[in-house]
Amino acid sequence: MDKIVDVEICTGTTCFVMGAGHLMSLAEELPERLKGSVSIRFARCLGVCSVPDNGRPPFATVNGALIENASVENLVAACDLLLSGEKGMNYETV
Amino acid sequence: MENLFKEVEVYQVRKASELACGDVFLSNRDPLTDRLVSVLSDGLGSGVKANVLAAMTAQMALKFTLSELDMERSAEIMMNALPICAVRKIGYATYTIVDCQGHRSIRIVEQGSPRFIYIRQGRVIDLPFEELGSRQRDYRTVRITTCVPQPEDRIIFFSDGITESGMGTPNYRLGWRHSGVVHFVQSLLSDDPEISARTLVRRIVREALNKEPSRRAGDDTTCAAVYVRRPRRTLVLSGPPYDSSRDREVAGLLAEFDGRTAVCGGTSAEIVSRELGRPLHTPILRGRSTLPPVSRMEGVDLVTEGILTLTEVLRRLDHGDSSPTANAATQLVDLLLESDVIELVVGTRINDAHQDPNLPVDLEIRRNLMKRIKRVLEEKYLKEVNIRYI
Repeated sequence: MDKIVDVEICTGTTCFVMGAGHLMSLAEELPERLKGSVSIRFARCLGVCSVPDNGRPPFATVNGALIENASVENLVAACDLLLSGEKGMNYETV
Repeated sequence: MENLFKEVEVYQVRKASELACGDVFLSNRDPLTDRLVSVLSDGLGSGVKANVLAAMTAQMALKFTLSELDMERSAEIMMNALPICAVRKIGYATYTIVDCQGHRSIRIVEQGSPRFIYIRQGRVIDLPFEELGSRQRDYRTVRITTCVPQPEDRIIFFSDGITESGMGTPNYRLGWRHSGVVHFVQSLLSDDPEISARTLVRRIVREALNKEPSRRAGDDTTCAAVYVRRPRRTLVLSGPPYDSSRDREVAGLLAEFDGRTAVCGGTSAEIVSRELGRPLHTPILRGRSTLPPVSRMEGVDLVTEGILTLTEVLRRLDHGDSSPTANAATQLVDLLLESDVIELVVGTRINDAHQDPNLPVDLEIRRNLMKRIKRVLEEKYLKEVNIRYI
């Protein structure tokens, strides 16, 4: 069975004004190679923006690992990394 | 007797060639006496002149009705005070006054306007009326109808732009006519017996425009409705409680509420989801949006983001913006305007992330935003709104 990467995008206020609005269309912007291997979900709020140590909003998670300053580019890169490494890549989950 | 709420709504489209509407609608609700007076006046002709005549008439009718003066007497004074046009020999303005005195009685006074429609138990009924002549010995008469309202009664009244819509076109040589409107109202009611006054007046005006060539209004077209009903209650919860030990209490308020509910805010939604053990789903939106998407939770009618959505809700309520874009804010506006009694439960914990000076937009403080929403709902939309901070 093909591996599926789970991406969850925060749609809370802070993330939205800091750029998550642009991530709403991530599904359409995924490169062909990733379509079918990435499952995208929205979260009402991941609740991580209020802790400065978590980094800069917008936030997303890729297979449970937190991505700060999320953009189409770094989410695609994170998915590619997870899907390409045969041995997989271990992100620490939040 | 149970406490009945009277929803009053109006919708109008001015004559396509004019800049001002010659129909004027005014309403006054006194929460202490539970009295609601609504007046629709149609000024002679169209444009600014008609608007001034109708505004004068409507204002006079409203003031007279609200004064303690006997209604028959005030109707008579008003009719005698309003002049008749020297050229056309007809009255300067027609009017309909709907005076709901608590839940005890409704009096409807009409002079020259199309006959109102009274709905009881989903059907149009005829009510007996009294007719008074003018002391100026002209053709004008005032009709006074009195009745005791029952829950779910509706009164629909309109200017002749409705009944005469489409006049002269092949299908409607004599216009839509009163009978056409009655027929349409009855079909709307059989499709949706609980249709709100707000939806009803819009549907009637749109249907009238459908009769017109190119859907351009040939006359000022106004429809108003009063809907007597058991109050529709809505609870809006926004913001986490100042003290998180009250999270359970807030979620409980929502779970036990008798009416419709909305949660506006990511953290608040997460709290409710956690405390009630109900999962939260945020469906994928297609394309970009200016507002975060709505979410779904079992037992909650609407779940949205907080500050951005509420800011847009306030803007729409303030400006009466009715653009067709459907998003979280329009859904919340619809929910609020379809309600009679609105409970706002406002959590006062500040989200530190919202205070970050690097944010590209100013995020309003929730408490102020909700206070302003309360004010506009009360003053402009005559809703009963209670607010509590938690």
